[in-house]
Amino acid sequence: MSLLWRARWRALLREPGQGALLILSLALGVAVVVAVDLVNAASRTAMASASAQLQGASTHRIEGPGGSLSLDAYGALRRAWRAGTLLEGDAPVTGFAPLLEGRLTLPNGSPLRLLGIDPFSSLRQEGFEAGAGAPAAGAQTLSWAQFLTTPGAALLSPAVAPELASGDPLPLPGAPALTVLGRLPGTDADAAPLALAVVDLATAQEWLGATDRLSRVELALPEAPPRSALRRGLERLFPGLLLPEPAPEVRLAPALRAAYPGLALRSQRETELALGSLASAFQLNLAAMGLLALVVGLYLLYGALAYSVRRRLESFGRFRALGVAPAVLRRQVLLEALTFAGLGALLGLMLGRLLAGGLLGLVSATLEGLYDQVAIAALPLDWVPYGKGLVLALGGGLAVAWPLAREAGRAPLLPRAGRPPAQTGGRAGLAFALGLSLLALALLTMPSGYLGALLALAAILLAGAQAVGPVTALVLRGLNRLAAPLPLRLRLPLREASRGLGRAQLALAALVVALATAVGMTIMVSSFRLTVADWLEDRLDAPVLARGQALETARGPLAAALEAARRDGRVSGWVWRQSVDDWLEGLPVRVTLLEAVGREAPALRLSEPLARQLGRTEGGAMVWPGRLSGAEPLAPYYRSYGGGRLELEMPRALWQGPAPVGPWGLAAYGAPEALLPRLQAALPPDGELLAQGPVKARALAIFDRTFRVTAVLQTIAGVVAGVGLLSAFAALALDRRQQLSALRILGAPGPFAARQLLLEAGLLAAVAGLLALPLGALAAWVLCDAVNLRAFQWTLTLHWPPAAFLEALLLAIGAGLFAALGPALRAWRAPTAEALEVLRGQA
Amino acid sequence: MTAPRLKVSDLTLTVGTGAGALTLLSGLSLALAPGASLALTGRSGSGKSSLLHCLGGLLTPEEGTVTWQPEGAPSVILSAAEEGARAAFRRQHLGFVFQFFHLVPTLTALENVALMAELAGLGAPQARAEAMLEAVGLADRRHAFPETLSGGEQQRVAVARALVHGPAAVLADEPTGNLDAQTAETVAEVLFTQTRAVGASLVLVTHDAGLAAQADHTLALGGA
Repeated sequence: MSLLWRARWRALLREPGQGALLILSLALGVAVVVAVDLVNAASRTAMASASAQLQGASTHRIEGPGGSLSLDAYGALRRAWRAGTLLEGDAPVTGFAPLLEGRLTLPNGSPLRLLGIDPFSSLRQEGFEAGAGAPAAGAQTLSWAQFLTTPGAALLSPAVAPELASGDPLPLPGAPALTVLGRLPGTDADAAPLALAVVDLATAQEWLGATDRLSRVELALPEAPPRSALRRGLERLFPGLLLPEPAPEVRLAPALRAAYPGLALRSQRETELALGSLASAFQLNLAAMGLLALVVGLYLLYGALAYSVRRRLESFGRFRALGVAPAVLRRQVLLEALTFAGLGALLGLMLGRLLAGGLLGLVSATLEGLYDQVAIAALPLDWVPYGKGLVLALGGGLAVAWPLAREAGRAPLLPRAGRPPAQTGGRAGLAFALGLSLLALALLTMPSGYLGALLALAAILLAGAQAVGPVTALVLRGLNRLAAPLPLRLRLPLREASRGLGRAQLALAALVVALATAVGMTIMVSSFRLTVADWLEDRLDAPVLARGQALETARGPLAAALEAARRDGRVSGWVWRQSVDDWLEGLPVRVTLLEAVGREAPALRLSEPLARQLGRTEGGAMVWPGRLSGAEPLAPYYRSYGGGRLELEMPRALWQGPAPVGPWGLAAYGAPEALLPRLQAALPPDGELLAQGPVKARALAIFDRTFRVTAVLQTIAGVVAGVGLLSAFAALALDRRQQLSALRILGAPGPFAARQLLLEAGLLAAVAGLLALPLGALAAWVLCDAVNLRAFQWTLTLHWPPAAFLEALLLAIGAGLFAALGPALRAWRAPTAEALEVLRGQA
Repeated sequence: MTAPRLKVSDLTLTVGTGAGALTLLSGLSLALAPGASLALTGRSGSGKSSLLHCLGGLLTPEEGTVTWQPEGAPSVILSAAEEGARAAFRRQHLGFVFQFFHLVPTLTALENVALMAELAGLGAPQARAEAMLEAVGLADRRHAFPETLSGGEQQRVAVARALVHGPAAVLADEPTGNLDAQTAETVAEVLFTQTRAVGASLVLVTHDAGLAAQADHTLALGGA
């Protein structure tokens, strides 16, 4: 090791705490990125695994109205398929499989999804054969003949009653027992524990009491062109950041659409999309939070390196004067940065693996909430997240060190008069912040998509971070003027805070970014929750809902029961509803027809995603030839967060299109305890009665669970910033040791120094906290009105909970005081002899 | 007969422990009258700074006592006092002048001086500081920050700081050790004149024979 390096390492070893805190802050940033990538990849695998088990090789599905397909329509579809005329333009169809799906209940009360298939046409056949042939507990080799001939024969997913062997009965409350024939294969070692039973179509019809219908027909269409290599690469590198692409459009043949107007052809990916909006929003949030934590970590690395390099500029100049080449000095700074980044990255990779394990439970619970039974069993064995963490840390470390290395190489040969403050340029910082703000403005005003909005958010946060130093200096200057009448012992921390800003400003900027993000996310989640609650209130406003295939047959008795209840004052009114799938301006839509009794007449309204796609957010009049008799007034859109489905609703009397044939729904407005028994008596056998209160509560519970993990990551980003503060305030205390020691010798009591350090840290942190508030509000606005709107066509009613602002401010002050507590206590307890040693050592 | 301002009896001071222990002072006794000055001289390592620190309650002797008798206040055996009491005594009754000034860089000359008056709990610290700065000839530089003052000016601010609260004594450790000869002369003159003006005793450590000669008494340590 050259003497230059040796001198540097000795200097580093003199302040081991500083180096350790720096490595830790970077490690936490890397850990969050790695953990989020691992968890996102795991959740995607789990969803794909569940999807593969449910969908097999099918790419599309034909559904009847209300998820029910009459045998008549099925026959017509089958004939058209055989004739090759199923799809518009006679597009080829390589597979056609009828399917009946329903739910049964397992003895432990959990649901069992029952899938009835035709084994000769099923698109899942290969998987089932492999599964049937796989050696299950005590199973012999199975054949489809057994599947068809054994009464109640079922293939069970591995998670269902694993103790049962082939031939054992699976008892089901309220239904005959199924006979275990074999096990479905897990798609891989991490198979989702899906409760699924696959039976013959006839068995399913018998068990579900649905002999006159199917659920749908599944189709296999030739594969669409694969995603580009770039997109696949980006998806792998940034799981969760790119939203799924919509499937290419395919339509049923016109003759079939005319004969069976309720039929809808959807791609499986579209179904995934509809289901997956919340999950995508959730993964997008995770990915963004992960990157943010890393940015905060790199910011701190830059701060520490910048301070370290600028403090040594004089010594670099001296080395240059002695003849050391600038390249050698540059290399020294870069190697120093690489060492910190490398150590931080290695520690971060290990912490990331641990953190991912901890987050797995939370994410798994979220997916279960969204997808019923998708759960993650294990983290994937994939090197990409680790490699990405390492490359980001090392690359980021080199990137932040490069300008500093150049500065070191250009250090002036002769020391300047006076000691230069170790402060980053205020004007340059403000100019950079202004540039970033303009970039954000451009991204927000141009059609740059949700990624553009995310970039704008990053630019805004970075601009805010850049402005922290100059703005804090300005605020402190103002406070200093205001504080003129105060005693010097109270003014001194203000002055020292201004002086220490150069040392602490990057740590403060990291704190501001973390707090602003926390405020932004809290406001976004709070607004989102409030909007969803309003939406649930609006969409599920009736306390009681009845639904079922045969509800129409019981319309008379139900209406009579409701009329009786109205006479008793137990119900104020009710709305009949029936849906029909149709096409509007080339878009597949679900039209809900409403008939109100005793309630205000419903209006013609579009859901928000549909209104945005059609450019009809303003309302006005709507013309829909063949469906509406003329131009009808269009009410303002209603919000919809139920996935990607495009919907509209209207009074039944307006509808001129084909008569809907799907199931009816009935929403009744009255006390559930009085209504439920009366309606139950009039309900047809397959009808279902729901009190909507618990449904709403469950929906909100799922929502809360979805964003709990985000809060955890927010906390970690805050911890990263907190570690940066610890490091910065420890350094500030170190810088003030000599001054405080002198005052101690002059007779200042022990608590004086402690109070000075705490006041200084509290002041700096409070100013940072105050700056984080408007920045957080701006971040919330971008998240709500740009990112979510562009990604999911959702607008949220912005809600500003004062607690979010107060919490952030208190958190900032608390973090500052906590970070300064250690040095303050040390200063308090240090004997005077130590102060003497400090003066002797530095004299 | 006037009671001495400072009385040192049988002082023994050892630095380090075990085999590395070094006895710097052994059985030292001295007394200093109010307003008198004492120069401590001797070669490096002879224990003169350590003795000064013992007098200021910054170091505790193994044996012996350091007793102070401020005017109008009870006498205090500083060597036996607790840490808090020693700090209180220093800010009330002692003033310090360091070789490297040790002014607070973020406070002006005036504020540096006023801070000491404030620490001592005196009223109108600003006015006292202004008067003191005028006395040391720095009235026109009172709003200057230390980094803009010359070494001699900084040391004069330090002298003003040491005297602003009307101490019983000023302890100065190499007060001119970091200054050129001409500036050192000016600072020494200010130090002696103003200490006498406030009626304080002065104990100073110096290698400068000229400076030592200005003191009323000289104590050469280590046989030098």
